[in-house]
Amino acid sequence: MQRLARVESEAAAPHVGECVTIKVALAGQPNVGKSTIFNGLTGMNQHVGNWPGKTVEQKTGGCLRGDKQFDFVDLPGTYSLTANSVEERVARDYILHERPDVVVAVVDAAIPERSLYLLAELLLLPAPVVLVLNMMDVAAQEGIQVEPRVLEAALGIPVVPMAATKGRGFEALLDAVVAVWDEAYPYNPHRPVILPAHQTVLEELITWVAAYVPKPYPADWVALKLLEGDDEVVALMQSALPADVWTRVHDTLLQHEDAILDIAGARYAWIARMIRAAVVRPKLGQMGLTARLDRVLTHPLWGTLALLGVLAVVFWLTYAIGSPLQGWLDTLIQQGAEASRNGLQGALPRWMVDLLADGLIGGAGMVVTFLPILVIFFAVLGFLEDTGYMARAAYITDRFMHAMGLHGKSFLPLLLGFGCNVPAILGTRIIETKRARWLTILLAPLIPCTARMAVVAVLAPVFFGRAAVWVAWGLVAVNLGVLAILGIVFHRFVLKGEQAMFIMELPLYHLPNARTIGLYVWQNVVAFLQKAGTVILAASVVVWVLSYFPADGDVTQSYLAWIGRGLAPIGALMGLPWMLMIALLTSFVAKENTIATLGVLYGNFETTLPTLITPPAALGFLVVQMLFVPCVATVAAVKQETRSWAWTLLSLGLMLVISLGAGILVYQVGTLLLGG
Amino acid sequence: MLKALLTLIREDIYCTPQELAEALAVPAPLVEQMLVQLVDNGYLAVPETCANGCSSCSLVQACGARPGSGLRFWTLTAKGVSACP
Repeated sequence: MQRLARVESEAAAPHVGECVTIKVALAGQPNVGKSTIFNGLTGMNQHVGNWPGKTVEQKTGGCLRGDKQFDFVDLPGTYSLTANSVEERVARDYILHERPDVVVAVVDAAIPERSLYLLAELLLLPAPVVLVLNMMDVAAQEGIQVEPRVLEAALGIPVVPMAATKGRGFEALLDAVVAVWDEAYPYNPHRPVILPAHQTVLEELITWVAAYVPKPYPADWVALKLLEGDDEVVALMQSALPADVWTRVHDTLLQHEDAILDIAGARYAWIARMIRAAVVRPKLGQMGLTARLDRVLTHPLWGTLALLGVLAVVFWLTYAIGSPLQGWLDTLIQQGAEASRNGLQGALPRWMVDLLADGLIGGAGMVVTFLPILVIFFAVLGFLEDTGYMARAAYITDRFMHAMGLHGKSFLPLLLGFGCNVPAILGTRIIETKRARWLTILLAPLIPCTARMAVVAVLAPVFFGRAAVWVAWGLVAVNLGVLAILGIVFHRFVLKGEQAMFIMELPLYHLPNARTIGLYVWQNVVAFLQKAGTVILAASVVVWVLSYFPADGDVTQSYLAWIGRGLAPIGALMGLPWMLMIALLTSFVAKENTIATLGVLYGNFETTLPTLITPPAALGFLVVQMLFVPCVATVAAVKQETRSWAWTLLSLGLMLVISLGAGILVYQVGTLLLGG
Repeated sequence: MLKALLTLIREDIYCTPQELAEALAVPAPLVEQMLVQLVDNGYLAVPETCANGCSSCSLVQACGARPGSGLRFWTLTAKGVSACP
């Protein structure tokens, strides 16, 4: 094969002296090795420019073989010829207007099904096609067997196996091109057929438009593209057809608006038949790691059990490693508070000393002691995220939400809710229907956000010691259970029939990256510390002031006690003293305030609280904490997104009733079973 | 085959392209290509995975649905629902 300089004039006569010129267009998707083939055929004899009037790169070149000169044009990489992009328009316009002698369709042999749609469209154009199965070596490495001869028989066109990067198949390709060009090959393409119902319409369209189709477009191709709803061809024919004919054509197209589904669907069925005939894929034993893992991790039963197990491990790691560190930090904070109290005694008024020691260090400082727990919690979540497991968790959760019709677009905002309820509420903007959107807004606060989880991570070991893992696990299950019940009730009685089906793709599993996880932990910890230094600090001061005045530190005679006693009757139903009710109340500002408030009111609450309330009351308190009204930022988001005070108050009231009701139920049933 | 795919999505039993491919007895890449075509023709939509609030959310890195997290979603549009047999 001798390479030649490019023949500048595309319109040159096909025969130059003794030499015969064959014009060949290379078509194919991006990344199928088309450029490698082009470079292999033309070497240095290339010209690179732009397609006329376009910014798309045009590569042309040539080679000489015996008495035949081949002029190659490398068409832009496209997935189809539907005029959706400038590349697709350039590729099909070239074939239609320049009429190459042969079109070479390049296909990746490892995934031939991806490229055969383009082939199906190329076969409709007025140029014979040679199919190249490139990357046969890669397909063999993947254990994929492709049978070129079988595919050739099924397609009725020449099929050439190649491994362009290894220089294999170039001679066979040129042989096939020549055989098609000089009609030595019995070229008889088996094109996809369209359904009989649309065949009749297609024939009608051909009859109506044939006389008006501008050159060089083939009438049958134009009619088919009209039926497919191809914008460019529709515009072309609208200007070419007389008004009365266009009206008839337009009315027919409107009646067959979904014809594209049948036409393109028939092409996919044709592709599936070709692949079934000519491609053998690896068996189950040769499946990749992701596929093998997903057989278990996305299985309805095993996947759900695996998710519950992962959740248990997350909590176990958090408590087993984080709690001892938290205890150590707590001692430091307590010592710091006492040291500052002793150091400042006499130098400052007593209330200021108490504010510093009990309000600031005892409140906001107490929250900071939980940093180790959060670091471990976020590190484990970051690890799961970076391995690709979290997508599987979402997939399994979707099955759980299936029953209440809340998957699809509602699922995404709810998924966000595990991080923070505020973006979850804002994320409902992607839901079109108002009722589905408002229902999602109503349910989103029931997703346990990281702040609620952080509070549980701190308080569960205080009350339940080693059993904290199972308590935390159960609390998450309670929240999701309540969400499901509410969702089912609303779906059955309020949003009947409204459903948004969806499909999600799962990413491949991969080894986690330490830097990514570190960054994830860092960003979350910084956000937590910012909150501790602002909202939680301010709330701690307010709680301290209310608990200190007007009785100079006697909390039982304070403003807070006055408020708390108002809540005492409800607290009594759950076996909770009023201080715990106040802790719940302050969580309305930010969930972490529960911890800060307990720190202000009880000091070292880790040792005090278990002696003050019974296990059923403690469990009831945690249930209320998890289901309680969301923080003020979430409520503001609900109001902003619904623009309805009624719905916002309904959301608040519902959460309040559910949380208190669940807390009372847990306490009463627990007391009945275990005793007071 | 595209109508069969839309019908399967409408049935709401299958959740991933892989499951749809198994149900249709075709390779998964072919289903992915069909999904792209259905999006191009307005029968499916690819929802935005993050709303306005996400840009200021401190937990955006933790979010499984953030852009670039590897999750890809397709939802049936009203046109897709009405096109189902």
